[in-house]
Amino acid sequence: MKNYLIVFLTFLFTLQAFSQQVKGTITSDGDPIPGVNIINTETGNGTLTDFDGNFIIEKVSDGDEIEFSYVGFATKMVVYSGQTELFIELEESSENLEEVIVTGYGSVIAKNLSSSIVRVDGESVKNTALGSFEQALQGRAAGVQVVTGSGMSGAQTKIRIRGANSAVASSEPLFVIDGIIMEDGGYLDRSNNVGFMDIDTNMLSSINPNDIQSMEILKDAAATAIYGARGSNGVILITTKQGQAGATKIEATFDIGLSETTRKLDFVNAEEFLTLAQEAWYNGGNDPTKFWDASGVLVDGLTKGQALATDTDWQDATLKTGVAYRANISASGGDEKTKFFVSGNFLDEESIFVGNEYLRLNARTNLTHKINDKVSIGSNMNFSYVNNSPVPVQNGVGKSNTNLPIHPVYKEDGTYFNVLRNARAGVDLFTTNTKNRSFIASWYIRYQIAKGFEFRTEYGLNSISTNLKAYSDGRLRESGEGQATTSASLRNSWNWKNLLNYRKRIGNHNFDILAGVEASKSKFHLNNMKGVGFSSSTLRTPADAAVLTPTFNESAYTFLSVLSRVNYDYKGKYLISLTARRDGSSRFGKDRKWGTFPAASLGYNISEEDFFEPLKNVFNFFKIKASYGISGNAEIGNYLNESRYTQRNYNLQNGITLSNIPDDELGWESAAQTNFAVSMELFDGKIRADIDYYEKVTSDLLLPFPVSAITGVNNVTANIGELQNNGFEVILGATLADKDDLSWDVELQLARNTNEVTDLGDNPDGINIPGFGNTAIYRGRPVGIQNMPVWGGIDPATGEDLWVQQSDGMLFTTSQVEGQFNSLNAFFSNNNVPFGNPYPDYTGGFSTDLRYKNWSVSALLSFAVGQNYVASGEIINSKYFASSMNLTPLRHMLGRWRSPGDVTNIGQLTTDPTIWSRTTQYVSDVDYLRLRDFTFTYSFDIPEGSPIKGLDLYTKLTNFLTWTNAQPWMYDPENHVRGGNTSLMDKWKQVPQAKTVNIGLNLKF
Amino acid sequence: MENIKKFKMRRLFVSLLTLSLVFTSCEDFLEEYSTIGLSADKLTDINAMNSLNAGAYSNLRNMTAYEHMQSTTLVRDVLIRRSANWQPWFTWTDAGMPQMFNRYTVAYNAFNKVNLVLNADIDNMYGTAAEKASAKGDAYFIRAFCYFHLNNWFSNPTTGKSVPLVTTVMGTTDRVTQASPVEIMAQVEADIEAARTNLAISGGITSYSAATAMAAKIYFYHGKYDLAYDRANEVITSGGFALEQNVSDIYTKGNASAEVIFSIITNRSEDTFGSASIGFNNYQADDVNGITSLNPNGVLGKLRAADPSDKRFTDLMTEKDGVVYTDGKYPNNNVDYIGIRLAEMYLTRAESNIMVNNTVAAQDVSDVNAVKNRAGASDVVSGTPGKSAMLEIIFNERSKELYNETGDRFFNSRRLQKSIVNESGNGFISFSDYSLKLYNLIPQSEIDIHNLN
Repeated sequence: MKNYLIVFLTFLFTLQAFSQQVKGTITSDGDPIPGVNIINTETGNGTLTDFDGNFIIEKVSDGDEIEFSYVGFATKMVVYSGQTELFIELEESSENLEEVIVTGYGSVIAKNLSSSIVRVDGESVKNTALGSFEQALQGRAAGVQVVTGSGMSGAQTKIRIRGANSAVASSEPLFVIDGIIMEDGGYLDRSNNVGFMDIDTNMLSSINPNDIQSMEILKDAAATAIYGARGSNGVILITTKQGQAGATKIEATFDIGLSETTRKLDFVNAEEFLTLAQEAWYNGGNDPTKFWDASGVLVDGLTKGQALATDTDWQDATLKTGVAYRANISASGGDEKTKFFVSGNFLDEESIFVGNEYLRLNARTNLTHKINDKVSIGSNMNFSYVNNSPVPVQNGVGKSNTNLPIHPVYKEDGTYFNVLRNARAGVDLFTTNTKNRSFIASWYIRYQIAKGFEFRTEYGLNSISTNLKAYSDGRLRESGEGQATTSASLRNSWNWKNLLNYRKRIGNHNFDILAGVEASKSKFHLNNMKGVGFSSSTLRTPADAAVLTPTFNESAYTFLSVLSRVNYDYKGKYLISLTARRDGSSRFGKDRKWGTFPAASLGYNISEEDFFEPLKNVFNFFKIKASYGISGNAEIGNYLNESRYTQRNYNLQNGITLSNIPDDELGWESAAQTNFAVSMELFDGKIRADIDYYEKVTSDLLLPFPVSAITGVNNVTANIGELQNNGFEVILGATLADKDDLSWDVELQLARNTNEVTDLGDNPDGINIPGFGNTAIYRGRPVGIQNMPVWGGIDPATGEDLWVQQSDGMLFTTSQVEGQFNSLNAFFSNNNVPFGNPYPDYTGGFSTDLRYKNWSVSALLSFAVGQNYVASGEIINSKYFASSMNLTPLRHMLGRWRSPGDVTNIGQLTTDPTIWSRTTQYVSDVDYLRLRDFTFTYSFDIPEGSPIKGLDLYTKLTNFLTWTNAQPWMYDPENHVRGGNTSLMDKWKQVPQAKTVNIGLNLKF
Repeated sequence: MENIKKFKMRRLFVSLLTLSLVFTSCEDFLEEYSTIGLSADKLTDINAMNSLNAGAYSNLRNMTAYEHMQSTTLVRDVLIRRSANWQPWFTWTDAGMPQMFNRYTVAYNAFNKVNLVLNADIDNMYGTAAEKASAKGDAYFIRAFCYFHLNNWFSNPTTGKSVPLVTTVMGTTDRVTQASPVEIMAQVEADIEAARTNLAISGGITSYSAATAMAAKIYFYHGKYDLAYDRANEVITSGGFALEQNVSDIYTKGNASAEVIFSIITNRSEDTFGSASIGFNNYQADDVNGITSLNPNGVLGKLRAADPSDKRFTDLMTEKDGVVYTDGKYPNNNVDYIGIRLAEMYLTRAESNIMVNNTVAAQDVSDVNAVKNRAGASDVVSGTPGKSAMLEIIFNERSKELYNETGDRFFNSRRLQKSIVNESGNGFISFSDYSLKLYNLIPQSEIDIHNLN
């Protein structure tokens, strides 16, 4: 027995000798840090520091490596050698190198990243006054072009990462939130068709910007190939905040903002209008004494006396000062086992558009729980409610020139003046409301199979319902009948992935291996009811209408994927990452169901080499990277791979007609991208530079391809074309000061991209895309240019337009054209040339963060240079305003040609009929530099022991200053055109953007 | 230890690979088809056949939209007062005229549907014999109608070629050659007889009488006057149709008129574009909004001058400020497009009978007078004129009765090899000159794809 006891004690002692308990304290600058993650990398045992920075970790043996990590601090590694107590000092990480970069299905520290990913910190979207979080990326991520929809609440955004990759398919990036692919686009219409009404609400606007921890933008193929057939437009990964162990932190923000249009169009006033109109009337050969009676300026019972006493700026009837109230509250915390982040957000906004109201409520719960050493579970859930009442644009502010400045908004009896052309009536009498509820969530279980070997299964869900009600008063319609619409749509997409991840260090070799399968399905249903004709204007639902038209739609698509990635590094010096994904989709033709998307990237941290040592005084970090890979674009629409018949009724009998011939070879567009990059830090990280050069070739470009009429259709859509995007990106950052009471960081983001169509298959040199305008795709030109006749200025002798004949460059005046070629239209159709560039050559931003004692200032200037814009209804209407005498010209028309010898680019005013054709006269350059964001914060000193931990007061200016060469017929140089890449230059009526001033209060408990 | 781990790893990867292969073979998950609308594999029942036919009828609205306008300007019955956009469509060149709108494409869109019906296994579908016959009858009728129409417009007298003859469903890689006008004519005649056979069992969208009247028109234009007589006679004697008392009622009532045998029905909720909108917009008695007015020096203008009290002029034309508008046949943009009516059958029967017998019979005179009397014409035929005089009377009567309708003015002049008014609008151009110019060109894209010439 005694022996046994001795043996047992010896055993215990032996155990004790080999594996001990170690306690310790972790501090930074002498202050304890709670919640630091401590892990024994040999055994996988881990713990967290308590509120006083203390920890105890069990079963530590000699030689074990213990890792101490905490967000914002450099990770520290200690090799255990028998100490009983450890005192660890963590240093705040020197910016980026140790930063964790989310890569999609995993993460890597910045230093070991070999692909091209740019990280944008959540701080830059916090408390943003922009309509949706992704708009805050403008100027903050080189190579990401962001065009804000408009100043309308919930407006959509257009994002192009490294250029436009497609012609007719979508070029929008993939949005992934906490690993779950997000539905994006408008709530009402997921297709990218150009619609007349800009009333759709952006689904992404349902995300609370203050929940965002970081956004990672995956740019090169090595980064995007893990998203396979859906990655080639770039991927934006959104990571939301997670709780940290330690004391519960509560943060609350209250904010109020005022907004105005960034600028107004400069229309003539009443007096100027009469001058121009009478001149045109006279020039048109009309009797000047009959101007008031016969020209048509007096309508709807208006008298000359009333007209002379009126001076209306119609923009004032539909634009106003907007106001927004925001509140955000979040609580986060937890312990070693369970961590939580809970937040709520409230936004109540009236935008700059009369009648536009928007309410958003968000609730988020992010939870993680460690059941035991092996198993942990977690969930991220976000519910949002968006109640938006957008107002029409084309029929609202877009009608600012369809009545005259000599016309009043209301008649003396209080009714709308000339109601069909009255901008205010257009807004008041057409009401739309959408109520959108979206639940975006994911749940996962993580199981540690063995040390460093982990299995994760995760189910994600987007469930989005939208209820729309719209009512158009009979006064707005020629028939006089009111029209009401209700629609209910439901969008459900789920995604289930199973991943295996194995991390292993063998000597100096580090492996991170990922393999997995993923299935996803997305389904959309729409029930729509339209009713026309009501017995009273108080009735506004289709149920009360005389004639009812129901429509129903549903569509779905699926993806099935196998994915794998191997990250390898040797001593953190040589980096290799290999990725492959295989994707199948219901969208693809039966002979091309599956695609494989491989990519490889290499990185070389030269600064880790011994021979680099002499340079280390200057370059503390230097990395070169190269990658090549293929990713795809599957946003080709549903059911293009099926033969389709559409409804074509005859005399109320069901009729159908062939609308699509399937191409069994139909598939994704494939983008092969090569990337070379240099990443460096100088002077201990005080200066940072990242330079990327890329070449991206999109082949299998989806294009309409004309086929013989004998097939029953005129064209089929096939993967036949090719286009290229080439460019470079530069990020330069510098820390100008980094002291306790003064810090100052500046950063420049600059990108250049050129886009060129290189192959159109068997199509001739150019394809004109059917539809509105003269949009064209030409070999050797950017995608989506315009095909139009060339305007040669104004003939000083006659004041007429001059037109260029393409065959010989000869100039003809309008009357010469009409004499020789019958009509301008006949001449135009033979003298079109591909023209313009819808994309900026350069985009980027300059940001600065300055903190001095309690004061801090951050500013972002963003810019885009080199794009063209064609027309706007207002300029074409100005040119021809006198043909109908019911349109208001812009003030620049005052510079018109008046007598022979006048040199001007505005022709003689006449009553000649309107020519709607787009010509190069309407093309203008649009460059801008704008103060996108300017935030000024004062942090109050909080006395010891106060229940409040922090109090900040801030003011935020958004889009406050803009420098631009945009023509006076543009509301804003940031020109958002809905739809794909084929109509980017041309927008009939532009939508104003907003500039805002916010004041807010941020409290921490 | 290391070996065991390696083994485990390998096993795991093998299972993962197996799992992924299982998923890969889960092709069912990727089979996601539209639940809305018909796809080719669902076109297996009589209802689908009828829907294809209805879709093809809808095509006829577009195919015939400009037919009346182009033909009436070709013979210079009307002048274009303004809008230079019309210029190319009636300017005569030695190389033919561009087609108006896309009548070629639309016709082949219709062929795609009716060929699908006619090649489907209708006999083995579920349905009554009557249902099957009516589906087939409609399809044959449309094919005959469209080929007759294309052959009229696209036969190239210089090359002796017409349009490609397509009687099956074609794919994107199929290539065709042009048929001769005679081959197309044979197909048209076979199809219209097949339509009659089937529609005799049960009428479809089109009636048996309409197919018979169409057959009369076809044979009449194909120079088979005996058959033309038989078919026209069958329609007239069937007693199913009667002339309207007031000429303007024909056009306001459209398909509902007792006189109308076949029409293409306008429904603006289904199609805002069609012959009615083209007719109304162009002929309307509005100096600013209308485009055309009567050419006083044209055949029609002179016929009007000769008998100004004829109701076809008084009731169907409007005179304002010295301009005469031919607006009465398209009083609004919602009227049906009248394809064949009883008055045409009378004139067809009369002329066919004369051509067959080489002499004029009393019935021929009464046929013509039936049309004249209804219009209150002052030149009612008395006695029995000689053949050539009577044929001239019938030509003028056809001109007065069918102007601005179905292209008959142009095609009838060409059929009889008559001179027509020249481009300047007063003076004549002979058949031998204009027949080499006034035909439609097959679209260049089709010529390129099929290597046609």
